[in-house]
Amino acid sequence: MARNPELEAILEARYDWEGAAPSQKAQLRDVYYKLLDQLLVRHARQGRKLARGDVIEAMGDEYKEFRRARDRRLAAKVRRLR
Amino acid sequence: MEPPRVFMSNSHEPRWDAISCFLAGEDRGEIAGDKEANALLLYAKSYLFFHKLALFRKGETARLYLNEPDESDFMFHRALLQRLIGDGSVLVKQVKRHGMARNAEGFSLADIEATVEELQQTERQWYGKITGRRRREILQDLFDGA
Repeated sequence: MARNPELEAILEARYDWEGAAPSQKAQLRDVYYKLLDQLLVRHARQGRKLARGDVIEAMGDEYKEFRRARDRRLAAKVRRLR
Repeated sequence: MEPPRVFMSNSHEPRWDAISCFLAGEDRGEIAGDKEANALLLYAKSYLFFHKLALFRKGETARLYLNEPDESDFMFHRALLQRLIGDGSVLVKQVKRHGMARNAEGFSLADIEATVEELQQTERQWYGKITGRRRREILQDLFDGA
C-alpha cells in the first residue's frame, strides 16, 4: 500500500478512472490529471521539472500494488456474499 | 458493464483465449452509409468497444492481479491491450469524422478518447521502458521515497 497520502490520492483517482462507467471516463481522467498536474506544477516551481508520462510510468508498480490490494479485497467481499 | 457469461469458464474466471475470440471481431472497417446510419453504427461500435474493455479488465483482474501471472498471461495481456488501443484509436478518428448518435448510456467522443489514454497508460505501466533506477529517482524526488 502506498505510504504517501498524495501518492495514495493519485492512485485512487487512477483506479476510479479505470473502473468508471463509459460515460464517466473523461470526467474521471480529468480528476486524475488534475491531481497529478498539481503535484508536477508544485515540483516545477522548485526548479525540478518532470514529464507527466515519465511520472505515470514510474508509478506503475505502485499502481499495480494498489489495484492488487483493492481487487483482492473486492474478491473476498464477493466470496463472502455468495 | 458486465461481460457476457458465455465467455466465462465453468469457474466463472475469464480465459484469455475466450477473451481474445471476442476482442478479435472485425470492427475497423471503413463506413459508408448515410450520415444518420453512420452515427448509429459508430454508437454500436463504441458500445461494443466499452464491452470489450470491461471483459479485458475482468481478465486482467483475474489473471494479473488475483493470481500469479506467467509468461503466457503477459503475452495475451499485451496483445489484447494493443488490439484495444488500435481499435479505440480508429474509433476516435471515425467518430471525429462522422459523429456518433447520442445514446442512453451517455458516453461521448471524449469518453472514448479518455479510454484510449487509459489503455495507453496501462501499457506503459506494464511494458514501459523506464529503468528501476530512474523510477526510484522520480518517486524519491516526488514523494520522498514513497
